[in-house]
Amino acid sequence: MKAHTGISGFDAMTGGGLPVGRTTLIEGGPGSGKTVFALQSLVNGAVGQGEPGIFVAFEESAPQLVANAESFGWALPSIGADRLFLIDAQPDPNLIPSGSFDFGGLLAALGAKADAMGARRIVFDAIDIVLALMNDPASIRREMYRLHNWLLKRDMTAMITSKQTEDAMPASALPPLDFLQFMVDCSVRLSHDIVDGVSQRAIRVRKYRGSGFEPNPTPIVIGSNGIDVAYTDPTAPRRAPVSAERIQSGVPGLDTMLGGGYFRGASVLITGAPGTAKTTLCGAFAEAACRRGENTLFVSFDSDVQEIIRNLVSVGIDLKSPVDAGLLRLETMRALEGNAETHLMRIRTIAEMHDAQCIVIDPLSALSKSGNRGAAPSVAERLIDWSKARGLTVLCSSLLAEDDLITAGTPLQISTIADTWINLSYLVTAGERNRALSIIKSRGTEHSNQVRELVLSANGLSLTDVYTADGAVLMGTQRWKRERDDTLALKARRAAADHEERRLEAESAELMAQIEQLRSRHASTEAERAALKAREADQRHEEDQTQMGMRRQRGGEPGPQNAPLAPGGGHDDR
Amino acid sequence: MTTDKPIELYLYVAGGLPNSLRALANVRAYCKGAPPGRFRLTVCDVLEDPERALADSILLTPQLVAIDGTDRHVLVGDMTDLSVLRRVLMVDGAEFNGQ
Repeated sequence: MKAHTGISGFDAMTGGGLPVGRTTLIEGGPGSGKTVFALQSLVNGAVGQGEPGIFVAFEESAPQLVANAESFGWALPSIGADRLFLIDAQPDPNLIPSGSFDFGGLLAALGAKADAMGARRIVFDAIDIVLALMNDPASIRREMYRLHNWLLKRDMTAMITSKQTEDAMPASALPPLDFLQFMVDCSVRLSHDIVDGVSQRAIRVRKYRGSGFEPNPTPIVIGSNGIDVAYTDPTAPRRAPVSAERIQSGVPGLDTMLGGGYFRGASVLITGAPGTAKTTLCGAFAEAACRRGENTLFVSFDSDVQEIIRNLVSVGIDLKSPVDAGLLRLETMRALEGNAETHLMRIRTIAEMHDAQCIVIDPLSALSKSGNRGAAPSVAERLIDWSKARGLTVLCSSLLAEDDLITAGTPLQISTIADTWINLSYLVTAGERNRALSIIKSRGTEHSNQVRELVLSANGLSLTDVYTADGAVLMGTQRWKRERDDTLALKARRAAADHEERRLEAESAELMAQIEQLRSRHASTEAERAALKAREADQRHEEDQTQMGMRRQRGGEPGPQNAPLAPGGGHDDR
Repeated sequence: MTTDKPIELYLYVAGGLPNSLRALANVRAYCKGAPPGRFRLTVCDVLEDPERALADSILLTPQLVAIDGTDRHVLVGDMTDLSVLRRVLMVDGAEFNGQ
């Protein structure tokens, strides 16, 4: 059984929250967030879990606490004193110690109050203040036992906050507080350090009787909603189903290269040297997302929102209309203001408020500026984890100092977790600097392995097929010249072909004419031959008649017609 | 610092806890030794009246609140060492019959 604190990261670290009916010690240096942690847990218990709570304040007055809570958005007075009761237990500043004293009165008063409101949780904030009044260790020990037993008997979930008992303090300063560590069932340490001028906060669970927990220090952020612990249970199932939907990159040619666009819910990394049009690609993606009607968040590090809008207009990208329509939210963040964790939290908060489906971060590498070098990779990774769990598509740009991908290509080590990695570079040839785009990897998609030229114009972005002549990539003027040469050659070839066709056409026509001529000659020849044949037949008939006439005149018998005259006078028919 | 009005002493105790019992005995003895009418002692047991303890912000016991005109003194402890009380209330030892 765990008592949820409502601080989701902490609940995940401890498998659910604080031990129910047991005591948790929360310690840390000044300003490490002890009071906030305790108050947040108490407010969540009262409001979210239906567990009324009592806050015993030894260090701050009730009005101070109410004001502090207000700054985190917790309206204590509206929760109601029957659900959350504040006890101003600051020792009177004029209090004169005069012998041995105890918590008898305190516990009697608390018991009456707890019974009246049915309190389930209780916080003793800054117990060290009151223990410091007891200058003998035996009394301190006795009173802590008294408190502990009272809590156990009442079965209340308790939090006791105290200044750190080691490290910062000399060992002799607060020795009796050390045994608090052994007495409680759960112990939590909050820290606040300055690394290279940047504040870094963390939480660590030191012990938790009867439960597993995350033992490593985990970064925290104290933001406008209280404490946010940057921890997600690695074994927790990812909520968003993996999508096969493709979404446009905003550059038609790039969609083709990727086999249809980015996957929805993918993380895309765009790397490149300064001026290689990373922001332009980011802007194109944001514009395309808004055109699909998707809420989009565009986070710009160190570049003013208005400047981005103005600059992108020059390449035909209109971000003003979607901003006016409320689809696009443009946010400028200063990398040096706050640490990487703070930025991550702000991005998440704004993205959730805006209900963003697509997030653009330009450039993500700004997170790793001074003091954040250690924390940034984990922040980037968690950003991607978080967006994946929600099915959001994230496009991050990253600045590369050099065109050396091996050493500089993984400034945040996100190149390994990004699904798609696009690299932009300059190719300098023949006195020209041209932008080249290549896809280094794109998980799950067939993608072009060709380097393309990225051309920016007032009409937008386009990718041009590059000429790969003699193993070299031609771009810019060289490509243009080559294109012109090719066009001329083509024209010449076409002209030649046309000419040849016409020649053949004429020849064919001529042959047809010849055929016609021959055919008519053939016809007349045939006719001539028929006439000849008829004439000959007439002539023969005439000759036969003549011969028969002659024979009759000579008195002969009419012989067989046509029988040739045998030379011997006889006739043999055989 | 002699006025006709008695100094009001409010002693908050937590039932039969040893510190409270000692304080009660010590304060009573102190008052007994003083000239009559010098102090007026009121004892409040917070175990019996916890609401009163909350209302008066008395959380550590035993606690003694002394009101002398406009002056208000708060002492916490079992008053084993009465010299603190004497010094705070600026009551000269000569006035006492006893200690």
